[in-house]
Amino acid sequence: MIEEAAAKAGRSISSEHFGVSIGYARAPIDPATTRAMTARRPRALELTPVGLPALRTLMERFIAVGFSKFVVRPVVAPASWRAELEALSAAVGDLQT
Amino acid sequence: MKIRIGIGAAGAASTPQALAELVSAIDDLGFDSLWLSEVLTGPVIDPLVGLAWAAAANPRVKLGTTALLPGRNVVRLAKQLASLDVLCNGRLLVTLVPGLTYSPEREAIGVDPKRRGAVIDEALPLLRRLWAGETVGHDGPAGSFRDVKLSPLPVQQPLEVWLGGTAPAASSAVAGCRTGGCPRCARPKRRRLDAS
Repeated sequence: MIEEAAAKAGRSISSEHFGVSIGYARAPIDPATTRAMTARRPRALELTPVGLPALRTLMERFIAVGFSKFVVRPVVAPASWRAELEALSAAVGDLQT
Repeated sequence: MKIRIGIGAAGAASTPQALAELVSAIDDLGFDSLWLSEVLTGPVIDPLVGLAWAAAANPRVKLGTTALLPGRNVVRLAKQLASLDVLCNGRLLVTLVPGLTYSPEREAIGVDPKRRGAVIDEALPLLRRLWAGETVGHDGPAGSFRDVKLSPLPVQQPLEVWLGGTAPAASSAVAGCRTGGCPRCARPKRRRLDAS
């Protein structure tokens, strides 16, 4: 979509400059959080990987089609940021180059 | 292709203790950057205030904001982001977005979602010229001003801007402005199909 629009504008975008922001959950999302998420974005649940293996799979799919910059964010506030990022680092940290 | 992973705080870093722990863990564990998003009606701290705090708390972590462009005074936004880039010594990453469209966020932003793409198209070249140190004048929906020369200028020259969002207007804006894109829709296959 972006490349098409760029071509129409007579421009191109560096392959280094495609990124995506991904909300993820560590466990099935509770009903209250579900309601809050879908109120803002109707397809939010469908687009949220549940579990760190699912997050990694999704990131690998994006990498396979040329995305290289990721912002990942837990949709449920972690009790400890350090513990959250330690788990995240073990699950997807090696994808960084 | 350099693959990097930043961490978005969402609403989970709205206390000094939580933000300090997050910034420290990002640094220690080798993640790329901290990202604070602007949602006017959400339970999140203002990203520019939060990043200024984080800049003082840690001298290494890159600092990213997903900030609203529609509804903002262009000169003030240019000034704020330039000042932040100076104070964090060039670690600022900027993604500008059209904003969410659900109520009450839509009303809080104050610009009709159908007009937000046009606002970005008009404002982005002005931001770039201001950050480059040009003397800029403008008369249009994005603002009316003349003979504005920004100081201090951003440390990063040029200060690159990414554009993000889920609306088709966001993709068009990305394409037309020679910048990067950071959508919030997680459908890689679909994006590939769209691009083919």
